[in-house]
Amino acid sequence: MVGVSIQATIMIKTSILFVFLTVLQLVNANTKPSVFLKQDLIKNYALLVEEVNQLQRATLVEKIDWEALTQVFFDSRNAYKNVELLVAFLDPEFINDYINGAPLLKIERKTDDMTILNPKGFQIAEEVLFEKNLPEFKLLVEQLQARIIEFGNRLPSLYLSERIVFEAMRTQVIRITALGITGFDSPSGFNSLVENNITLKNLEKTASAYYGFLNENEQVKLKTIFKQGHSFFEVKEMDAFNRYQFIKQFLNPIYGIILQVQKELFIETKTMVVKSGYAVNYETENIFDTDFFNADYFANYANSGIEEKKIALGKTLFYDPIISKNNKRACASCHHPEKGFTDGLKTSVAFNEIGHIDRNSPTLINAIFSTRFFWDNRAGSPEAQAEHVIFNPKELNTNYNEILGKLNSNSTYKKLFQEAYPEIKEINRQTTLSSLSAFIQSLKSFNSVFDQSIKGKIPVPKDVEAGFNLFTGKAACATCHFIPTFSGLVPPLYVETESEVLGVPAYNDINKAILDQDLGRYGNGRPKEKADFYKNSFKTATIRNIELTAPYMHNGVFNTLEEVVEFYNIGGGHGWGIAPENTTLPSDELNLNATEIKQLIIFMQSLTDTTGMTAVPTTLPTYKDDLLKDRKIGGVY
Amino acid sequence: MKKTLLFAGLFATLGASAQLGFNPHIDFVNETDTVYVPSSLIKKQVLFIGGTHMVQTTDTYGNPAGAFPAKQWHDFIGFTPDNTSNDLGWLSVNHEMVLADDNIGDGGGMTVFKIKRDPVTDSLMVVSQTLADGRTGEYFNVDFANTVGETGMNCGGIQSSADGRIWTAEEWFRYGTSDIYANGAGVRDTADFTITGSGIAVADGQTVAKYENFNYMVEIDPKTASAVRKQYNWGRQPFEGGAILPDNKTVILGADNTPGMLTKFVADVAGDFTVGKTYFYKEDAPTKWIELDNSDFNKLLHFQDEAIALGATMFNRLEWISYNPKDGNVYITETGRDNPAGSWNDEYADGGIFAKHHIARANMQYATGPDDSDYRDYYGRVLKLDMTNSDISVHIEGGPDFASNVDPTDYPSTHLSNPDGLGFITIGEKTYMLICEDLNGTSNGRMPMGTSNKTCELFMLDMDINSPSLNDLIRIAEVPTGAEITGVRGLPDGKTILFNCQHPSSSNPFPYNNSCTIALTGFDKGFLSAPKVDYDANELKMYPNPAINVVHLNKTTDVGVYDMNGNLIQVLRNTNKINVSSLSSGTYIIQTAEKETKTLIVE
Repeated sequence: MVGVSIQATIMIKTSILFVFLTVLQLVNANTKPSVFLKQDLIKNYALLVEEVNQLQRATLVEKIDWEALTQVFFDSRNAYKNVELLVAFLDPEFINDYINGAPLLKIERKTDDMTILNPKGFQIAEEVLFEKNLPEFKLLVEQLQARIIEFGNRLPSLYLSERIVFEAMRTQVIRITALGITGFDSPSGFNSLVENNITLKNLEKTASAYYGFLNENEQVKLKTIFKQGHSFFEVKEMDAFNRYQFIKQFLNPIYGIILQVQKELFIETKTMVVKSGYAVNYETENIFDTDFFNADYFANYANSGIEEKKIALGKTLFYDPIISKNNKRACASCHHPEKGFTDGLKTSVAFNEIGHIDRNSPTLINAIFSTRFFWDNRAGSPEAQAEHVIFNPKELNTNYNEILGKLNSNSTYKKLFQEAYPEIKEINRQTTLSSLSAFIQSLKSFNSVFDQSIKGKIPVPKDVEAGFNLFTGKAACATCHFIPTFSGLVPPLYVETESEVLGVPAYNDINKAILDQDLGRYGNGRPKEKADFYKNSFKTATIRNIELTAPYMHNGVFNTLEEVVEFYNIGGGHGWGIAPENTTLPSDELNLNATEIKQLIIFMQSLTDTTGMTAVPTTLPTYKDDLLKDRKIGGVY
Repeated sequence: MKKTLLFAGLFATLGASAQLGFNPHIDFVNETDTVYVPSSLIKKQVLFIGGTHMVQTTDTYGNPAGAFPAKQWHDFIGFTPDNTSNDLGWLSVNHEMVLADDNIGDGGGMTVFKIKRDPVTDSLMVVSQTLADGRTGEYFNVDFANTVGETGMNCGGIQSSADGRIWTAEEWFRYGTSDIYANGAGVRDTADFTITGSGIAVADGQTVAKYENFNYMVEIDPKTASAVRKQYNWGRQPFEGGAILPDNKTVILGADNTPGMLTKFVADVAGDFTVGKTYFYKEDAPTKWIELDNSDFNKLLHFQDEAIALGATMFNRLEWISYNPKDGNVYITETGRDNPAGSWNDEYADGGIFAKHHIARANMQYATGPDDSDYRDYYGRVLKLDMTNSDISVHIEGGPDFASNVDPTDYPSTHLSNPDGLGFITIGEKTYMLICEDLNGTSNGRMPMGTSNKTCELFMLDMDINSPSLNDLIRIAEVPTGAEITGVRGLPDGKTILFNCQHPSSSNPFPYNNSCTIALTGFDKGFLSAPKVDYDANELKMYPNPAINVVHLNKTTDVGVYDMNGNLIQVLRNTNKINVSSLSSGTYIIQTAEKETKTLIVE
């Protein structure tokens, strides 16, 4: 997200919208809530159209009053937030393309040439508004108006079911948690408190359409928790908003309660209706649950074999240097369990100990929760990731002929594969990759001090709460390191892993500041990603277990978390004076003081959890062959 | 008044919560009212799996011939009949990719194999062959690298209506040598290329930059698994589809681009495509086709620029082209592009002319023209090229495309978006169009609202219907999540439809996590027996259509499907059919929102 500095404080007038934001009840107990909600949506959508028409007219006046124009603009935003819950769920692609997508360049989907699309919608318009660029603003508003009208025309034909309403409500809870209160979609951050208040009221209104079908206890439960949620909005500004407590006391519980109500009302869940895979596991009641995601969704070979045996076999393969050409290197060579599955080096040692590979070894814990792998986002699955390392002459430097030959000559391995894959039985490319992938899929960590506290299992340490509120607020970390993975996996659908351009220096010396020359995503070999805006762009890594994974960044340039936070605090590459033109990090300084930096780091350190993941096998299958008999568990180097 | 009602509503529901769906568990009672679904008439076979089946290669880049895992990204399927044996013939499958490979050859590629039909079961079998060059096996790599030069992004192609000769199309237009090199991951030999042995006078002896040896229609011989020639005299364009008419002289070619143009080649002598005249389509010209001098090699290299300057008609991404044997016309898929303005305005300024159906659509949308940034073309369509007068009209428009408010009851239950692969099959007396979807996105109703995953479908359309609508489409297959459905091909005996499931993603069970060539066989066995539905009956009626694994209902309602233990396993809302393909053999209870029940037995 790109930040915009606010020059003036402008009061937002109370919109006529709020009249419609009162809690609604069914007028007729026989009307299905979805039917009623559709009518309500169409009515509120008409108000959005009206507001946007007014906005468009306001850009045409002879002498622009920027203050007044800003007010009219935010009236439109508010009207959008009042329909966002259903609209953004029903056609996420359309909303992202034209209405409320990130203000960043994009590559057009599904074309053979590479066409770069300019951002459209509210967010880019907000940026342009604060730059007071009238011609550009006029054009963006005109386009926005056309698209909003276009979408409205499709609403009457919409078939809304109760299931869709419940999925939309739960998706909206995720959106508020991971995007709304972190300020992701309001570049200026300026209207954030009002907008989040509207989304909350809209969520309550939607839920209340079902009150007539619930018994009194259920109704009281819902009314109570919504009251609790509203109490957070008594603050004057977003900076004072306690995001941690809002998530803990309201968002996370309501995410579970809505599912409980859905089941109580016999409304079928997505799991029963939709056959294809989804990233979010609909059946969990908690955003920080270990199974909040379907790990399967992110893997390629997830549907064969017996899970526990695959994991055990994958773990053996992970620590067995048999998977390298010289039988001296294992996956574990660069991914030590005690270092959060990294190696503590700036960049890892290369094959035959000749030099180093190009980039820093990333953690494997929660690595599965990603749609792209490697710092340059080049691989699309954990299996493809493993193959890149297997074939790379600087890494394992081998091929399937060699690996499968060695594995097939061992009776223990044969037995392990047969047991793990009773149907396939063979040791082949698929079963080998599938096993390694199963082990990676088992490295899930959502039970850190932070997780336990936000789930209410342990009291929260004061600095962890303060640090989380900085992370998701003033320090603006969570607009890229999204809840709950704290990585670039984008909510609320979690089907895309982002990369960012920060302007990372080549050397850890601000007096000799030079931009690291690694082109990152631009050079990842995918023809459709060779776009200038991907130069120096790197995958947004997870913050979980960061305490264990120093040094930091794709080139390991920073040794401590203090150095990393200081880098961001002065505006990243901007502060170092080396930010390339396409930098996606805002140039603003964060103005974190020493206490805040300390709290931020304490929060990050509270994300450590390697429980049950670090045990190393005590033996490997034995060979008589001279080259293979003395293999070292985890590799020689 | 309202308040009273509300109060009454609340009062009535104090205590237990009311229900808005199907009870997750019911006591299973075997109803006497039973509907049988016979086991499907259509049998599915996976014939060719990318990355898994081994292809026989030739000596390449100094590496000896051998067997290596086939490339993925299956696209075009061509069928060449074998008139000399009892085998059916050869299948040629495109690999729409650009990938360095020491053995198969860099760039894209093609795999060929021969099939026969089991006389008892009608299922297809891959035939083991020994080729003239000594290679023995089932799947063979077409050697491009040592012959006509590597190919790239082999997307669509041509299967001649005259004799089944095969051309592969190199889509993916390249503008420079670094484009094809792709940091060593694409085509590694980037030295200039000297054309020899094409038999095309204007091309042989020319030396071109390596990237200029891409983007042609390339003839191959499936019987020998070898390349014949790149068809330089048809121009260098981002080709996708093409058709050769039964006269064995006329070739119609389409380019997948915005703007995309239509090209025609007419051979002087039937069957010899090295000599003839090349034309581009110009809708506003009296003869519709304008010749472009194909004795000027430079003009062939810059075919689009030359044609645009002369006022060629501009389409929005032409995909496949197919000849309909029933009416003698040529049909063309135009897949659309959400906002084409930015992509064809330069060419418009250079002299290109928008196809008239785009101008009409823009008017409908209150856009100033197809060059207006407000002009939208989300869904695409199938066009008909009338071979008697060369007029182009829309045969079926994709959608749901609504310029204004639409009544929910008029909303079509079938959506067709971004048609891509196209073919025909004749079953008995009837000819059907076969249309593959390749969704450009999920927005604007391309997927049902609230569904963010993409599902591409394969449709059949009865060609006896004059002005077909979306509701006339018969859905016969959908491919797994993430996949595109490509290469549809009906076999001449009317029994089998072949298609590819291209680039399926994540979490599909093997082999559907690889590109696969799939055969559906049995269309000759009563596919036409569509049920006569009694919509006037008050009571629930169900009509199984085993050919497409569907049970039709005589009304639109909500349906819960329960297993034998009385557990709810599936809920369908607002539907008039139940797809039983995901139900294993067994007994089920069907319950509607109106609490009517029936037993369903799936054989």
